[in-house]
Amino acid sequence: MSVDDRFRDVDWEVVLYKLTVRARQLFLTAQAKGYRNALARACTDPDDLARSVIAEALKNDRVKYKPGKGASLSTFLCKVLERDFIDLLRKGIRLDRRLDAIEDLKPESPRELGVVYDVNDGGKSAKRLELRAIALRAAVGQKDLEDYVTAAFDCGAVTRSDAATCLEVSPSEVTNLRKKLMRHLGLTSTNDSNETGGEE
Amino acid sequence: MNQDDLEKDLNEIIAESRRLLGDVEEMDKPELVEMLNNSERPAEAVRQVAFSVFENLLREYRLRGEHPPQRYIDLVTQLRPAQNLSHNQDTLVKQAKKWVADLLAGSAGGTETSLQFAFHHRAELTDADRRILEEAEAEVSRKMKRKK
Repeated sequence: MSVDDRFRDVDWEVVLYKLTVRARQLFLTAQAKGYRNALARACTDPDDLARSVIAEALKNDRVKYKPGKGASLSTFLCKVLERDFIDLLRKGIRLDRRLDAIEDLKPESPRELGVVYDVNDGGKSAKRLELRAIALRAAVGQKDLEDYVTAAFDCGAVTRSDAATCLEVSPSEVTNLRKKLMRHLGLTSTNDSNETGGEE
Repeated sequence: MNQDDLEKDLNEIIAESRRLLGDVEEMDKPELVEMLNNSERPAEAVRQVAFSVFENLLREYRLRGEHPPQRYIDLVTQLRPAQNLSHNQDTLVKQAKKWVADLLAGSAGGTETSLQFAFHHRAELTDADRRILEEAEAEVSRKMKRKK
C-alpha cells in the first residue's frame, strides 16, 4: 500500500481539530501543574505542536501510520502528540535548569519579567501538584464545576455520557462544563505563576 | 522531586487531562468546534493557519519542480477556506462535494447564528437582494432554534 493510499478518505479537518484540542488540554494541564516556565522555554504553542504532528505523519518518515492495525488515524496521532508533548516538556525542563545555571554566573543580570525562577536545589524542594486539587481550587464557589470535578475524579465519570448520567445533565451541558473549567484552569494557572509549582 | 516522581508526574498529565477535560476521540466535529471557539483562536482560525502552512509546503514542492504527493493535496483541499477558492477544476469539485456532504450530515461549521456573506461587490446589492438575504437569514435562524 502506497503512502498516499494510507491517507485516503481521511477527514483532515476533524483530525486537525482533535489534535489541536488535545494539545491545548495538555498545555493547560501542565501549566496548571506548575510547568509554565518549562513550556515557555520549549518555545512551542499547542496549535504548532498539533500541526507538526500532522506534518510528520504526512512525511511518513519519523511517524508511520498503517491503517488496519487497530487504531484510527486520529487515535494514533493523538498518541504521537502525547509522546511529543512529554519530550517537549522534558526539553523545556532541561533548558530551564541550564538558564538557572547561567543566572548563577551573572547574579547582577536582570531577571526576565513574568518568569518564575525555581530554587536552585536540583528540584528537591519542588512539590508535585495534584490536578484534582488544582481543578477544585479553580472551581471553588461554583457548585456545577465542583460536582463535575468530583464526578470525573471520584466517581470515574470519564466519558461525556458517564459524566452526564452522574450529574443528571445533558451531554451538551457536560461540554459546557468542560469549556468553563478550561477557562477557569487557564485563569488559575496564570494567577499562580508567582507561586512555587511542580517544576523541577 | 526526584526523576521517578517527575516521570510519574509527566505521565499523570496525559491521563488526568483526558479524565478532566474529556477524550477527544469521543468528541464529534460540532463539539470540537465548540471547544476551539471557546478560546482566543477559534476553529476557523486554526483551520486557516493550518491551510496556509500546508499550502506553503505544496508551493515548495512546485518550486522545486516536483509534483506534491496526493495526501498533501487532499489535506489542503479540505482545509481551503471558502473565500480562497482554487483555480483547479478537480479541486473545486472535491471542495463542493465536501461542503454538500457536511451540509447533509447536519454538522454545524460554527456557532454563529447569523449568515455571513463574502460577496466581492456588496455595494451592488439591490434592495430586492437584501430582502432575499434577510429572509434567508431569518429562515435559517428559525430552523436552528427549532433544532435546538
